[in-house]
Amino acid sequence: MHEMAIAMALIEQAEKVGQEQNARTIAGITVVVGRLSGTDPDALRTVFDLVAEETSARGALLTIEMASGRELYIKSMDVDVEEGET
Amino acid sequence: MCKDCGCSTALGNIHGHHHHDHAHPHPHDHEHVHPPVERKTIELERKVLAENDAHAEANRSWLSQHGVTAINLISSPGTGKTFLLERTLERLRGRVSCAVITGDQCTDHDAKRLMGKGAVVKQIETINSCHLDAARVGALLPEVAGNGVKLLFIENIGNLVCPAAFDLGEHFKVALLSTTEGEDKPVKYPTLFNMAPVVVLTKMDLVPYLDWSLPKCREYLNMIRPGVFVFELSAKTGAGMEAWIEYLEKLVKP
Ligand SMILES: Nc1nc2c(ncn2[C@@H]2O[C@H](COP(=O)(O)OP(=O)(O)O)[C@@H](O)[C@H]2O)c(=O)[nH]1
Ligand SMILES: [Mg+2]
Repeated sequence: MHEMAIAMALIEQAEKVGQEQNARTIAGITVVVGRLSGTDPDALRTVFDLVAEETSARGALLTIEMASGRELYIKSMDVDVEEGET
Repeated sequence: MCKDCGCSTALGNIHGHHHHDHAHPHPHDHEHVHPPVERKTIELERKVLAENDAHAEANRSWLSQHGVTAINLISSPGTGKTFLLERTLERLRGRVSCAVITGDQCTDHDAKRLMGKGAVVKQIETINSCHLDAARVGALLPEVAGNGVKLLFIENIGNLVCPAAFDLGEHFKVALLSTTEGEDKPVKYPTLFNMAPVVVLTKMDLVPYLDWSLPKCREYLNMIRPGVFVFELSAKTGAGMEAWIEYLEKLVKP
């Protein structure tokens, strides 16, 4: 069960993107998970909220899209940005 | 966000503060002034394990600069990774300068088994983790593989699933599968067997006592990774060890 580590890495990357975009909060993350990535989507979903709790991704909606290979990447993010920052 | 009451903030609640009908334990004598917030969607392709991958790339270039070939050995617990390494170090002693980083959740049993065979050996106890990661391995490289080492074996935590997801900066992965685990593990755990260009079938000496079919096992391996390079050996009897040792010697740059 390494999905805890995956979830932590996921949120770390998402927060980096959030910072780059001057986002105040992360409202949603869409992740592509390949069947050969070694990551179990259900296990990832289970730990995601817990890991997100103390971060700017708290309460964020996790969407998982399955793929056939080794994919494991963030495909898109919904972020809340202060108006005028864009 | 209301830390005190802990009630969840709805996605639409974008002012970082919310109004609800139960009492707040903190006074409301301060002003909340937040500029309006706008939601936007960012399209990207950002690897989840970007951080680990960056450490892995740094490890790989360190290894290449120092002329070290590194292989990441992955299998279930008990397949015979340490046993194979014991016999391998004995045979390579005085011929190829070797080092081992061995990972287990707890204890340094494996490091003790591997010591005294002419190789630098370092144990990583991961405590609560089911895999080694690149940062942890990288921190040990100068100490373990710095002094003219040519061949570095990384014995990963016994687990067919998790270690496959984490690149350590090795040059390639070697999957081990013992005859007692059955022929079909490659199709049941395809992630690892898809990633490993080399597979070692261990405990071949036990085949007479099992209903285990070599052709079937090879067929499954080729289904998951066509053309995979397979060694069949018994570290116990020594059968098949010559080919493995020759292969390792060829890996090492002159
Ligand atoms: N019969 C037989 N037993 C083996 C062989 N290789 C390993 N073993 C035994 O399998 C057990 C587990 O081996 P170990 O090296 O600790 O496995 P690891 O968890 O993958 O490192 C030990 O009791 C070994 O003696 C082999 O080739 N033949
Ligand atoms: Mg071992």
